[in-house]
Amino acid sequence: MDPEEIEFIGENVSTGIIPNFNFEAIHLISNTIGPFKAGLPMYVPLWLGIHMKKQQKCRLVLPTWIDRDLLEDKKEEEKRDPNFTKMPCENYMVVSKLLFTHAADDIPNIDEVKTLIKDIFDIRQAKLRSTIDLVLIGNSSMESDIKVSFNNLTLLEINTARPFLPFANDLIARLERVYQQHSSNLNDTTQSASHFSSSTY
Amino acid sequence: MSDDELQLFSEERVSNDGNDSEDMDEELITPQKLLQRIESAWMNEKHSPDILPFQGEMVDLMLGQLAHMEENLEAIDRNDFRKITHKMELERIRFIVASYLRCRLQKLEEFTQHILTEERKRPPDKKRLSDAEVKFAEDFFESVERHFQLLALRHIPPNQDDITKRIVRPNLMSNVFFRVVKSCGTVVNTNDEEVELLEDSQHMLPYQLISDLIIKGDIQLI
Amino acid sequence: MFDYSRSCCDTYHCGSIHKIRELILNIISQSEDLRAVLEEINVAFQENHQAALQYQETRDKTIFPMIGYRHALLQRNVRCALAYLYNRLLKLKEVRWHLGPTLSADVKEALTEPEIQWFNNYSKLLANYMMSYPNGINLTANIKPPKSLYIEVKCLADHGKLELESGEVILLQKDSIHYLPSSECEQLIRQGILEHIIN
Repeated sequence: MDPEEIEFIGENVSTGIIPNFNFEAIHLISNTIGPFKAGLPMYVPLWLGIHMKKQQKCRLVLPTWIDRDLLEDKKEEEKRDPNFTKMPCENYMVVSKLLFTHAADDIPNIDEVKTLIKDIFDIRQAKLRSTIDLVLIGNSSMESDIKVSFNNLTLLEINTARPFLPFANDLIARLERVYQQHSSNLNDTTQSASHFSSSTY
Repeated sequence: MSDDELQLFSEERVSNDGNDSEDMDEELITPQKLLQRIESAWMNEKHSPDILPFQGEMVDLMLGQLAHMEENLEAIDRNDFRKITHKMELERIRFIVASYLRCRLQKLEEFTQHILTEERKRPPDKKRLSDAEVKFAEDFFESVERHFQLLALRHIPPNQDDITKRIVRPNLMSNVFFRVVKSCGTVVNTNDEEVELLEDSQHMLPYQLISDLIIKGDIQLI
Repeated sequence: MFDYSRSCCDTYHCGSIHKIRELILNIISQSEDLRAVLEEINVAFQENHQAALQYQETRDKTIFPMIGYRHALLQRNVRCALAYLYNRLLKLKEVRWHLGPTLSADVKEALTEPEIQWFNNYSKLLANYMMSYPNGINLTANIKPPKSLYIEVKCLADHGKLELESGEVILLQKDSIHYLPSSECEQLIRQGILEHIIN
């Protein structure tokens, strides 16, 4: 997928805002939002939150997981667990990137938070690379006790393995099919050859 | 207009045409649900190598809604907050619908012969293309063949070109990523191992092994 | 063959203007080469025809490999010729999606008459399909996910008047800067008339 499309999907995440004006509820197709009451926190889709922030119509409320201590724990958990852990947000990379751009002034310890998210992403990428190795070497090999799992992998992360992983795997499967065909053909010929030789003698 | 927007949706009916997915038996569809269905169809179509059953009714309903909403918005001042918000959402949904339809057209153009042949074999209740798509694919196929004829084939001896040898087929064994929406037993992968499809689990498997589960709605391509 | 990545991404995504320029320049007519390839097919066919007649007289099997060779050559040439024509059609499709239904003079110059006809026919097919929806839907718009309703653009060439959906008319003069609905300048950006100013 296009990075822009992944961002587009991430922008649908519901996000907290504190509007600075009053307005009646708006019935969007995706959801009803509002009513807007100045100073009262409420939820809107991220795309709208960002638009409103740009127009200085609101303050963005950070999701609870954009927090130094919480992310430090998350990083430790990610290190300990051999599998991908469940992220607090399906689109954590997209959402954090957008918030770093549009709500930088509202994020305490922003540099540390940025680094932590990058670290977690890197740990997960390293796991993804080992998973790719495992898939491509073949699950049937000796390491069969290690299970390949894509659970909890987020869309953006899946996209970093695409198209390479599915493509390479398709290619290997294709080669294997040709190989099997070829070796069964070889068997056929040896069989018919021996059949031929036995009949001549 | 704010309150009648929702009512307007609930008046729309989704007819029960015996489509193969079982959740079609509900008569009314909320706008949220309609949007979710289209988003899901879009993602499935984008990631599947073959063409999937067309969600024509959903598209028609949505386009109708978009047109209606646009009409209602015309009366409102262009700087009105409500208008801007609705317009932004309209643009987003329009993108999804357009991208969904483009994705299908692209498959029709690339695998024209293959898709048309398969479609002809399907019984009436299992058709995957809309009438307009069939027409587009047939006309497109004809235009390319006529072009080949005009510029190359008529200048060489007859029967030197075998049309069946240049059918372009999608690789149905290509690997796709998906999330299980509803637990649906196990699938045997290409290494003869059983893969358990538990709700919310994510997997990568060849499309052909799980294509029926996509159509049933038990899994979602991602 | 290995269609996975191709079938899952929107190839209609618009490229930069440079890419489109490159695309146009790549459409260079090589009808002479095509003619040579087709001629080779005819020659090979004739030679095989002669060889077959000769075999009926002489029953000389030593000419078989040569017949087989010419047949393979002939098949290969047919494939190459059609692949070449098909790839040009793919480029024409891109021109249609990126630049709209009218061929500019420089593109036209690089095309054969049947290709121009094919392009016009393709435009018609596409239009028919898009009009099959109530109110119609323009699939060549909304190519990228929307970001904001209005964007700031710089005019790169004199383009004259542009009437907006709101009825407002603006004058697009070289180097002028405008704040326009993004949906209405998408195509002009792809054509290289406007440039999106990103700050």
